[in-house]
Amino acid sequence: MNSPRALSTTLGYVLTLAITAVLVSGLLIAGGNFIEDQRERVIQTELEVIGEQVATQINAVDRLNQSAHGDRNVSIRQTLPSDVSGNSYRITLVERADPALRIETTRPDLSTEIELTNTTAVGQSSVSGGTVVVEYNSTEGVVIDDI
Amino acid sequence: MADLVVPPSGTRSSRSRGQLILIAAFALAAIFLGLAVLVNSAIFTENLATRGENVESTEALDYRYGVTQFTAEVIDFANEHNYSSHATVHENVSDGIQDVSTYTAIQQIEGGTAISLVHVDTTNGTRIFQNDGNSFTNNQSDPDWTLAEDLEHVRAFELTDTSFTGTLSVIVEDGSDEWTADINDTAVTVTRPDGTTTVCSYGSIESVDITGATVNGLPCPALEDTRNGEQMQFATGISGVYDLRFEGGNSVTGDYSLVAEDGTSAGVSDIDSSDYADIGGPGTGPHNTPAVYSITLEVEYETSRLEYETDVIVAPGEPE
Repeated sequence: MNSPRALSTTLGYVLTLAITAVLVSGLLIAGGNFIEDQRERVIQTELEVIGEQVATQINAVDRLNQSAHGDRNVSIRQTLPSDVSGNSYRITLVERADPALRIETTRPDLSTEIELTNTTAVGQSSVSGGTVVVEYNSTEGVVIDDI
Repeated sequence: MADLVVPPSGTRSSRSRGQLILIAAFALAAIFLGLAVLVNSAIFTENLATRGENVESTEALDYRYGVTQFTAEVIDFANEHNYSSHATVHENVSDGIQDVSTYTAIQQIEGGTAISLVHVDTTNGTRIFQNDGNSFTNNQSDPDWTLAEDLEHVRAFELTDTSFTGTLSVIVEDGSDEWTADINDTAVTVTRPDGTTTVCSYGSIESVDITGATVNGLPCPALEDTRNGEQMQFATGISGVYDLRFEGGNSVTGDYSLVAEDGTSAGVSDIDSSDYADIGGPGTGPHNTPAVYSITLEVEYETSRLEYETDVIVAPGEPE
C-alpha cells in the first residue's frame, strides 16, 4: 500500500500539465484579445482626435481666408504624432458637396470621417501623418500638404 | 519554485522546473508591456484633445482688426486737421501708418510674431461737412440742393446735434431709382427704390448715423436690416453712380459730415462750388475739403506656425 503507484504518478503529472496548459493558454488568449480590443479603441479615439485637430486648423484657415481681401497667403502648420500606437496613418481631405476629412490606418483597418462646415471650397488632397500644413490656394481652395 | 537552471540531480526540484508557468509569465509580462504602451497612447491622445490650437489664428485676426481701427483713426484725424490738399492728407496718413507699423511691430515681436504693414494704395475723396449748427441749406440758403453728383461710394455720413422743425429728406438717386430717408423729430422712414418703407421711431432725434445705421447711438433697423430678405441700408437698390440730395434742409439745424469717393480724377468737379462756402468765409454754408476716402494696406502676420498675408481696405464708416 505504501509503495507509490506508477499509474497515478504519470496520470497525475499529465493531468496537472494539461490543466495548467488550458488555464495558461486561456489566460493568454483572453489577455491578447483584451489588448487587441483596447488597441483598436485607442487607435480609433486617436484618429478622431487628430481629425478634430486638423479640422480646427481647416476652420481657422477658412476664417482667415474669409477675412482676407485681394491677394492672400494663408497657411497654418500643425505638428501631429507621426503614428498612432505604432501604426502610420493617412489624412485625406475629401472634395465633394459636403466636404469631409478622412483619417485612416491600414493595419488594423480603421478610419474615421469628420464633416467640415467651412465656407471656402476644399481641394482633394492627402498627406501621411506627421507635420501637416493646411493652406489656402487660389485655384483649389483649402488643401492639406506635407511640410 | 521553478528554477531556470537544472539543479544537481537527486534533488526534488529537478522534477518540477515549471517551464510552462515560466513561459506564461513571460507572455503575460509582454501583454502588460503592450497595455502600458496603449495607456501611454491614450494619455497622449487626451492631452492632444485638450490643447487649444486655435489661438494664433485668433491673434492674427485681432491684429488685423487692431490695425484697421488704428488706421481708421489716422485717416479721420488727417482728414479733419490738415486738409489743404490731397497731397498733404496723403502725407499725414502715410506718416501715421508708419507709426502704427513701428509700434505694433515692436509689440508683436516680443511675442515671437513678425509683422509687416505696407501702405499700397490711397483712394481720394472729398469731405463735405457743416459744423456751425445752422440749417441744412446750401450757401445760397436753398433748402433743396444737391450735395454731390456722380458718387460711387459714401462713408461716415452722420448728422449730429440735430433739432427738427419739419422733415429732412436725404435722397440718393441714379436717374431712374431713388432711395430716401425721411427724418423728422421722432422717426426715420426709409423708402427703397421699389417703394417699400420701414420706419424706426424715437423720442427725439439728436443724431443719425446714416451709413452706420444708428439713431441717437441706438441701432435703427430701418437703415440696416433686411426686409423680406432685402437690405434697407444706405443707397440700396441704386446701381452705378448716384447723386446725393437734401430736401427740406431748412427744417433742421445741426451739423453733418460725410466723405464721398471721388468718381473722377478731378475729384471735386462733381460738386457745385457755389453751394459751398470757403472754410475761411465769406458765408457760413457747408464746406468741402480734400480728404482720403480709403486706403489699402498689405498686412502680413507670421509666427512659427502661421502665415497670414492679405490686403486690407480701411474706409471708416463705410456701409458693408
